[in-house]
Amino acid sequence: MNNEFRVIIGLEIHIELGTKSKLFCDCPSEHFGKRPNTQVCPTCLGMPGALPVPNKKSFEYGIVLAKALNCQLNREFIFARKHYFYPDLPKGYQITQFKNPIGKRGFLEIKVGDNNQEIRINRVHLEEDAGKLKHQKNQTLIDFNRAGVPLLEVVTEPDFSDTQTVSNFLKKLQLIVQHLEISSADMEKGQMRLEPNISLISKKEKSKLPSYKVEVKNINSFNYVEKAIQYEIKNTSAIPLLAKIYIEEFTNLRNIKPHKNFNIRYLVQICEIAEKRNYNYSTIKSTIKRSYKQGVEPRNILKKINAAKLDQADIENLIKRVIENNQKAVKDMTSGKNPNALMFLVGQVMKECKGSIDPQSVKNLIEKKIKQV
Amino acid sequence: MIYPEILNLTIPELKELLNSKDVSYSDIVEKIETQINKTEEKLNSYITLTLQAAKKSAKRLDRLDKVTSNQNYLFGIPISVKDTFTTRGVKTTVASKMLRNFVPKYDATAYRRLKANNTILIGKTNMDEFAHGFTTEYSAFGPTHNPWDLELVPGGSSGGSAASVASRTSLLSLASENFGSIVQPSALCGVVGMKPTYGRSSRYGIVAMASSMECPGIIGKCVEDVAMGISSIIGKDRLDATSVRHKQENFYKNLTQEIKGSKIAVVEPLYENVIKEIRSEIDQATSVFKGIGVEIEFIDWYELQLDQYIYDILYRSEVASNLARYDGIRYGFKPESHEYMINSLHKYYLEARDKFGKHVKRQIVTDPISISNDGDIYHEALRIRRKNKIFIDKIFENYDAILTPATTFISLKLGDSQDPKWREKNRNLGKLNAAMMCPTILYGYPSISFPSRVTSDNKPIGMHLYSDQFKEQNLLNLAFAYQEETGLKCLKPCYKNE
Repeated sequence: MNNEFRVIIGLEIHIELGTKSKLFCDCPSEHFGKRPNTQVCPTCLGMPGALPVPNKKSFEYGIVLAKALNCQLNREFIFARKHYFYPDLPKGYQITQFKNPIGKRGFLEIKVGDNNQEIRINRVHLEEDAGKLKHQKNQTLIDFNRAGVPLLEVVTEPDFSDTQTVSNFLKKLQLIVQHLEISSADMEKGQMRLEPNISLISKKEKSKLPSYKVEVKNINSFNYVEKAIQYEIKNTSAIPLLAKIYIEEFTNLRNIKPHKNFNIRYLVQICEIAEKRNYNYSTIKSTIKRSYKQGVEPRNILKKINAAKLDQADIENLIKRVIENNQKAVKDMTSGKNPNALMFLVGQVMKECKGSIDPQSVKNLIEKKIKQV
Repeated sequence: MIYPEILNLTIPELKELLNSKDVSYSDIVEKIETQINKTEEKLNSYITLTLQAAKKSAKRLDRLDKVTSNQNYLFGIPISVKDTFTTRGVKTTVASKMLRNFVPKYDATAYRRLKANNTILIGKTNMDEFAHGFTTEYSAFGPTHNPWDLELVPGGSSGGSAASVASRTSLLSLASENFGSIVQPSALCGVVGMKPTYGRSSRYGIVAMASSMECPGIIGKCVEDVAMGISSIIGKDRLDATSVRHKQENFYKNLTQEIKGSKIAVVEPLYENVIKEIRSEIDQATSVFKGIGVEIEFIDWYELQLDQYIYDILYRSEVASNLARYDGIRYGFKPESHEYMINSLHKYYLEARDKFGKHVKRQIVTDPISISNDGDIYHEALRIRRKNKIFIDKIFENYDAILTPATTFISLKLGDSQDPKWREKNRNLGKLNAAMMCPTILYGYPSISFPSRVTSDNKPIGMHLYSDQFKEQNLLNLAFAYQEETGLKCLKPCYKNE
């Protein structure tokens, strides 16, 4: 543990409400274990012309939780649209609340050992859930049963400084939610999802909050929250903001054990290198992966990529291999059916050699090779 | 152009013939089919025709008991529907490549209500792609031509709807209003077009553009027909949270010419700034109204440009947002690239979103500017919007309606509006058009356009009236009185170059 830093943690918790229907349509909101895409309608699928009609119970549940958390209630319900493109987001935006949440500036008192600590609640707001993606080898499947399910989002101030307090808070919140009967808050079913936001701040800076935070998303167990926070505390020093992007990549690897030599400082290293040179995003991603699995410093991985100066024979073999593995593209190219097939083949070669051959010569060589056949 | 007489009758007149069994529903559909064969190739009013199903429906209605048909004037009436309304089992394209093969499994509520009245669907009409335009030239399926003169635009975005009614390939059309999209093409095609108060007719199933402004409406060849159409599409809808509960009204039954003593306001700064040809049309229309006992007064207005600014900011933000759902993931897109080339989500989105037409793309890219940075501009526009509505509400305390021309030009040739020289010459028109059309769209007032005159070189001129919310009957009565006084109903276009 780095003794010159202290940890600051804030929590974002998403609670699936136990209403009968989804937030904006009549579809049933209880979706766990149901056959995919059997609880959908034009509205939650984002079909053309479909409109949202709000579900009254969700508002009641939201008010009840906001009051239980001692929040100031808003007199008006105003929804906002949060736009981004992703396959599990049917409308291309999520209907959520922005400047006017149901409740704000609340608090919850919890016991930590013999003492009481007051955790401040920043806001409680209502929003709709997105669909679920299932990644397979060559395709990704989307299930929209969960799209449109009402969620209450509870955001705390960064008032936590250790994992025990976090755990106590989450357990108490779960009890409250269950007691109010607004949700079963069953974590295994994903009905209560946790996102700790972790920052480390130098003990010397007494008052200032750090300019970044690491968000660890989609955790559905109290155990793992503690582990994630502890890992973060143990291995991180001041990580620049850029690293957040890469760290989100990193959390996708969470099911794989990292190599024992892997150090989270490597992510800092790759940010610094990436900023100086123009590595493309896939190189960065694969370097993170390699570093994580093999425990090698990114600096060395990237050096090797550059150093791979292929000789003429290697290039010939590489081109031959790409042509053999992509017969369909070759056919399309020679028959003229797909004018972009040649560039696709060039791309495949570039991928294999990690950009160390000049693309124009690759193009000429491919054309020559194919003519020979 | 020859019109079979039966298609020139008003719906009440047609009803009498149907009731006395002089004419059958199948007869009407047959005549419409003949008319389509004669005119569609030149006009291109329709994107999709459903004549086979129409003939089947007509046969079925012919077999039904006479008693059922008596109560409902729209029973068996062939209608066309703008391709922005989802129609179950019938392709709905919004005139875009993006939805070229989209067949919805659900009906738009406004259409469902007309269907429940046993109207017969002839087809889905052409429009500007995603309602972006005022000439119906921005369709992915070619432009529609004006039945009065094939070289002219029919107006937009409901150009196909107006043209179908004018050329008698349908007897009523369901269209949507979005910045004059019903009012203007109705005027250019010499027919009557109306939209009710915002919220009075459900927006469910209209491929959404601006959620706080859009309105379904009706186009017909006379005020009586439109009155019936409007009555049948209004009413609270549980599928549309913005629809309002208001009394059901039988607008046709309550139509009257007793409008003596009504007061109509003309916006003076607007009057001063339109071209002189349009000014003289306003003079002509107001003199007819005066002749039937209506008082005309000139009133002041806020800065003419304001509505254009607010509209641009609000409309565009809502449109860009509502178009976000067209990502090709769930419907409307099949990758043309070979599968091995789409190996990233980014590439997939690029190819899917490429299906929008050029003008839609331009709008999507520029629109979000007003909602970025916490949306300060957006909120300011909302604030001015509330202020302006209070101003106009006050005007309606003293006047029954506000009169404006329905177009800023007498006629427009196909292709002209995309000519940079035309645009330069007519730069002023934008703000005038906005001052005319925006109030009904931004503040939810009902509006109607009706033919006010036919020029000596055979061009129809239309006038536009709008009133306080929920005063549709007043508007219809004013238009009806004008129509009966001038005899300008069921006008017959005859395209020049025949």
